[in-house]
Amino acid sequence: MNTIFNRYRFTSKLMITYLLLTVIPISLLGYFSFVQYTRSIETQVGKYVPRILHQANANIDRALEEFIKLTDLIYSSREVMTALRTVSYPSQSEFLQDRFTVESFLSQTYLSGNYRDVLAVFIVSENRLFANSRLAYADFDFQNPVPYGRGFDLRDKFRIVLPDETNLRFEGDVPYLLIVRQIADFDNRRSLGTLFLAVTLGFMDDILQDIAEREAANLWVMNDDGRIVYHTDPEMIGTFYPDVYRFPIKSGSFKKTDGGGAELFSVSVSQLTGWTLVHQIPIKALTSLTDRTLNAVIVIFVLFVIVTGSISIFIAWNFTRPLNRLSRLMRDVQRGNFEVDFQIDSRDEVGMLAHRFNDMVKEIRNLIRENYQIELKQKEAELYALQFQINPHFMYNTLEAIAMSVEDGEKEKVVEMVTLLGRMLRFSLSNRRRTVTIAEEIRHAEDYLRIQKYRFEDALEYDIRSSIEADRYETPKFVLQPVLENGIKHGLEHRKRVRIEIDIVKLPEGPEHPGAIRFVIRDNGIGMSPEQLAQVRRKLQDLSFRRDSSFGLANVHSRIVLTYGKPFGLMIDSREGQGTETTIVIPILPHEGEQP
Amino acid sequence: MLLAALVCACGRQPDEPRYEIVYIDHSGPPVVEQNEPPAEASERPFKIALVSKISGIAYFNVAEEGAMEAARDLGVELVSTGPRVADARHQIEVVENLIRQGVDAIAIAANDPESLAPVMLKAREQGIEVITWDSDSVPEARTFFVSQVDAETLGRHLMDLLASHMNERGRYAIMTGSETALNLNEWIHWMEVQRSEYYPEMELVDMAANDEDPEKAYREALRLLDEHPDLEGLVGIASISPPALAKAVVDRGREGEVLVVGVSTPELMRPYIKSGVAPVITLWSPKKLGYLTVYLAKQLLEGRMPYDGQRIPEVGDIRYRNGVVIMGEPLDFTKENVDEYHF
Repeated sequence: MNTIFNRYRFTSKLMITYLLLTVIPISLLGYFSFVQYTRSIETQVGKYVPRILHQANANIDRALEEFIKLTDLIYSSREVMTALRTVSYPSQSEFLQDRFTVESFLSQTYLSGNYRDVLAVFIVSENRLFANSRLAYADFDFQNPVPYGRGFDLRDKFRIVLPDETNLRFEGDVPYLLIVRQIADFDNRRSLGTLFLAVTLGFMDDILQDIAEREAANLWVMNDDGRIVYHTDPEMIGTFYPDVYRFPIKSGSFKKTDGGGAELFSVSVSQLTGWTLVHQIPIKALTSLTDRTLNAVIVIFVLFVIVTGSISIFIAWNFTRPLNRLSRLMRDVQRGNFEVDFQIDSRDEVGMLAHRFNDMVKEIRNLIRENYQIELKQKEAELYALQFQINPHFMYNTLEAIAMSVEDGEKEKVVEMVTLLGRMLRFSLSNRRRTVTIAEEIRHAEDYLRIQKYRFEDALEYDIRSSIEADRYETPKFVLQPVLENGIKHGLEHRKRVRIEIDIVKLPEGPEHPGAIRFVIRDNGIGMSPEQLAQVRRKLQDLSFRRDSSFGLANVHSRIVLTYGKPFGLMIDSREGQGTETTIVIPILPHEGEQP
Repeated sequence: MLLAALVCACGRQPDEPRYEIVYIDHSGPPVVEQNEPPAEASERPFKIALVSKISGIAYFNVAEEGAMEAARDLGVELVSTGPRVADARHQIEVVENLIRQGVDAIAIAANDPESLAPVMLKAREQGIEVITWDSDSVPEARTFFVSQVDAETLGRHLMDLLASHMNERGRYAIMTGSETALNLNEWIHWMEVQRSEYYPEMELVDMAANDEDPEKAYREALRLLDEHPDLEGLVGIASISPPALAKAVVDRGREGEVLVVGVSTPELMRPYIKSGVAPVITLWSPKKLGYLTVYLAKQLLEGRMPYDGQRIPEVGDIRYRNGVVIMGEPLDFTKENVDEYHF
């Protein structure tokens, strides 16, 4: 995981993190709460509707029972019972009179307006039909009113006949129910005939229309075979509902899911008729409010994702842009361009990083510049040193001395001077190394002093004392000669005699001192006044070069300081009239065999 | 969740709608299948005995028809029996016999309220449900009494019928079925109450009992006519009395002088009603009474008592008070309607 994660760029990581932390949890949360909410609505409705249906069924049953009770009114009329008990008539007029009696009773009792749902009432008795109807009707076959119900013995029970079981049709195809009851002669224990009470479905309308308040809901009553007795859509009355056999329960609610979407069915069975009251509503209709909320939430969510996504992209970009720039600048620096500046205003971690980077680049740039200049100065100092190793003045004087000696015939003296001079020249010209062994440096200084000794004879005395193994250590070239030149020049200018002493010691390494080799050159010349000394010391501090009397000393100092740094270098101390003491301190430079 | 949805999606046919139960409503009462036979029907059917006052007379034969109809409808076994002579002694024998047979319930039309009580109590001790019908016993001996009519209603009604046809004046005699039968005596009592309240100019001159014997009834009828030449009305209580009275009136040539009213069946009285000897005869449907008795006996065996206003299939609404079931109102048979009735 870590390695996979590390492979992505920072922006991608931020985006992935953002998705993981925000988009995915919120969408999951939203999804689950929506599903849960929908489910709870289903359950609520699924519990609530069957109770209403149950109540509605009870109301329908009660209404039907009212109709059934209505049929009992026939027993209250003695005239009607008498007419029905009469089987044969001696004359047509007596039959017509009885018919008038019965039909006017039916009209007064059932169709007088109290029972507005009663459409018609028929009594079939001994091949007689007594009928009274609100609407025109047709095809009531009273000899055989119920094709398949012939011969059934209802006794005191009732039967409800649906329009499809009989040919009876009312004007305008009004849907109806036919309540069939046998008229019993309780006293004689025999059947007097059959009463058919045709009622409209208005009573069901009254009960059920309120429940089916939503247009999306369908409400119907069907019998066991799926024949629809009543439907909120009048077109459907009388048709079949084929899926009745698939209903998993008789009372309660269930969900039907097929290609067209889910529907919630609630069913309740009537106790009186056994008919099933069905309430069907698409889940969509139930959750329409939720769906609207869901759509709003989705829109808000998308906006939220866009906004927060842009913010996170912006933050990531804001974060990575300086880093990318930094990386580009670092590549520039890597390629050698130190003239870069990382401009950033922010004060956050990236801003701090930028400042550090700027400081670092500046530091590197300064160091490079310093190194470069030091190198230049060194080269320059060495060039001058090379240029002035052999002073032309000295050369001239030496050659003059040699000429004088030739004139005087002092042959050995000439030979030696020429030898010394040659060796000096070879030392200065041939050896291109910066450092030489201390022994070589000492010999060169001695060569110089001996030549001067030939010139000034007794006016010059010198002594070189070395307490170190001069072959094992090295020193920068030409450090002693300029000091000696200076001493001789100042010593012999105003006095007849001068003595020069050279002491070379090794200073051991101390806890704070890295160890050093010290050359001390003393002369007993006229020395310097404090002003002169201060001037000379100032010149030593200034590492630039000017050709004047103290140039040689400054050159020596510069070369040592530029090469080895402080505290190495040349120091000078002097008292007027007593002489000058010059100290050269160099690091310990072990000689590592002959250089090629 | 997703997995479940996938499993469901895979498990069903693409075209097959899926049904998922959301809620099952157990709160509603269980759906009762119509015409479901009661649980007892699978076991041995109830054996119900219908005991009449006397066997062989039309009234009780018709009642037996109704009882048999009920036994058919209700799926019970009916034992219809009665004594040859309408007295308590013979009826006790019949009941003893039924106890030995082992019936579940006995419905008895008691000839004597007091003397039948011991054997009825004995039957109850044996675990037999005992009710009375047509004629009651003492209340301690039975669970309830199935009465055809309210005794007061019938007694007062009979008196009114007699009075209206005698123009509320004159002498009359009563012939009853048995001097001991509780129901008959109650009717006579209420007739007398009605007479004393409303008809002071009418006078009851004699009473006779026929012991439910048609021969004796005829003899007694002749005696009443012969002993009371000024008689204007005769009341026949118990179903064999009015025909005997009417026959005697016709035989003595006293039609037009003496009129007959009373309690009898239309079949027995049809000629006399049509000829005018008996202008009106009152009764109820004995068939209906037999039916109701068996129905209530079975209901009692199932552990349910009748209640006021109960609707009995094939009978109608009944009244019930103080251990007495009242079937309905009396029917009057006249020249106009007697042909409607066939019992």
